[in-house]
Amino acid sequence: MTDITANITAPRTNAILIGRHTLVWALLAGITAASWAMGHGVSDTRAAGAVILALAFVKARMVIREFMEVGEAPLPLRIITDLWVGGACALLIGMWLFAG
Amino acid sequence: MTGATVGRRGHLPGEEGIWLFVIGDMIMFTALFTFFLHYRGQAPEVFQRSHSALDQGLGLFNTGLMLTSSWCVAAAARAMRLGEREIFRRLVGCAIACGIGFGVVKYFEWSAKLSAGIDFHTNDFFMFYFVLTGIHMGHVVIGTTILAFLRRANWGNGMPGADTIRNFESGGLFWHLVDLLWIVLFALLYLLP
Repeated sequence: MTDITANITAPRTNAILIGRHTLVWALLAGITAASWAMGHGVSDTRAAGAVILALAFVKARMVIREFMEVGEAPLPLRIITDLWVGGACALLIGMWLFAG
Repeated sequence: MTGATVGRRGHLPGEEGIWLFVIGDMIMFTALFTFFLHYRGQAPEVFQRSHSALDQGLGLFNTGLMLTSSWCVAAAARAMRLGEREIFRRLVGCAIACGIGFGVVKYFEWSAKLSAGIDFHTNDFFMFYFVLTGIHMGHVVIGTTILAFLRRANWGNGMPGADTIRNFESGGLFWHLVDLLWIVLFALLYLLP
């Protein structure tokens, strides 16, 4: 008798292990590497710091939208979390550039 | 679009209460981040010199652990919705292992600083370093404990119930928050030149 579960399990395992969340993980790792490069051996540290902070919030939004599944959540939650990402990012970059 | 890949459109993951906590914690940490940058603006040379004393390789390694653990939890939620208990448990086990690994790395990092005579009182940078990473580490301990508890979810031979899924989503949201906060902390403490 053919084991039909074998045909079901493979696509299921793929759905669990391979998908948008896995692509997002790879992108997060790539952006981390880019941020790392920005923090080393650059001459314009002011601009580099602003880019590093901006990339951190790009990563934060990816975690919120994909891992936290806010991309599929009701509109108010999407708005509130985007307000945090935009507000905190602008605040920290502004302080980085102009504090002191 | 299947339940394995993403939640249903319009679906609120987890309990409403956990979202109040998550957003409140994000706002509280944002305030701490602004304090850090304010003090940095007062003494940029001290902060630059102190930042150079951090082991950036360990910070990068811990970032890899955090991102991977978050992926494990996201994949585990998909496994649970499909009723794949064994894969679910393995993925949550991997996330827990990453959490423990993060703590071990942090222990060695803090120990090296303390052995070198650097502590909370050394200067403002290290005051923030120990306070921010300490509060974050508290989150890691709580999150790892929650995951260990949720890993025991047992739904027999059928599919998990709505409460079981919602409980795991809530615990998962807390873990993703821990990842999210570390992403910004890593940038502020380790990467800003």
